[in-house]
Amino acid sequence: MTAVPRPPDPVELAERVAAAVTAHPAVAGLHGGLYNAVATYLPGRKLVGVRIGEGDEPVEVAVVLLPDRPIPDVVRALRREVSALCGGAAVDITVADILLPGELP
Amino acid sequence: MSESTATPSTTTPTTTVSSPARLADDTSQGKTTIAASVVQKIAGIAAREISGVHSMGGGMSRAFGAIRERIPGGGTGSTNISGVQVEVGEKQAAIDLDIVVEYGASIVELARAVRRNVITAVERMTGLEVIEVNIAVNDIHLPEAVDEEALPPVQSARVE
Repeated sequence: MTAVPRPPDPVELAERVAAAVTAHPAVAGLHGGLYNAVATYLPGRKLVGVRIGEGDEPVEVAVVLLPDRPIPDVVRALRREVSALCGGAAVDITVADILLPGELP
Repeated sequence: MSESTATPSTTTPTTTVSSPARLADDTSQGKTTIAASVVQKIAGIAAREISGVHSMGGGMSRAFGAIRERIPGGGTGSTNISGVQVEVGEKQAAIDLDIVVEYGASIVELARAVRRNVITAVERMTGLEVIEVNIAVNDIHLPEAVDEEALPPVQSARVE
């Protein structure tokens, strides 16, 4: 556990994290966070909602959830999954909004 | 690959069993932030669930809400959060509600029921501790039919 085995390519990692997060049934989508700061800049586009920190910085994820189950359970599951993908890094999760049944995403 | 190294860490040194509903127990693994609009929506729905609550919002917030709905991008779903102000910290939330009650409801009982339902919903859904729910009853909604029939004809036959 001395050297955290973080995969060298943060771009690929960000996409894998985004895929894992959106695969959760309670996640309606990714979100830019409070100041739209949670994003990964890729060649030609921007992956909103995931930011892989450098070095000791935490991985940041911002999501919009569906209100069908308690938020702490969802956050715990997401954190476990993302942390495993990122070699045990700390994961900051922002629940930016919830999507009510009548609303469009 | 690296997933196999993660499995033997079942004996995690952090004991997170003290209060499972709280979010602060996982600070070593990262912070959790819940936006104010999340708490606003949950509180608004919970308050409206109580029968006797006619609508939400005071004079000012209803007026601003009506304007905001006409502005593109002025906030989607503002109907759900009008009349709800929240303050959200890392572990706690405080909620202010402006409600319009139906005529005939006991306001004291109604406020008590609203408060109970809002606290239950927000604490269950977000894991935040609700420290206070302040309720302002801004108006009372009268049944339309009654007051229009009851009004006397205006100034018609005062003198012959």
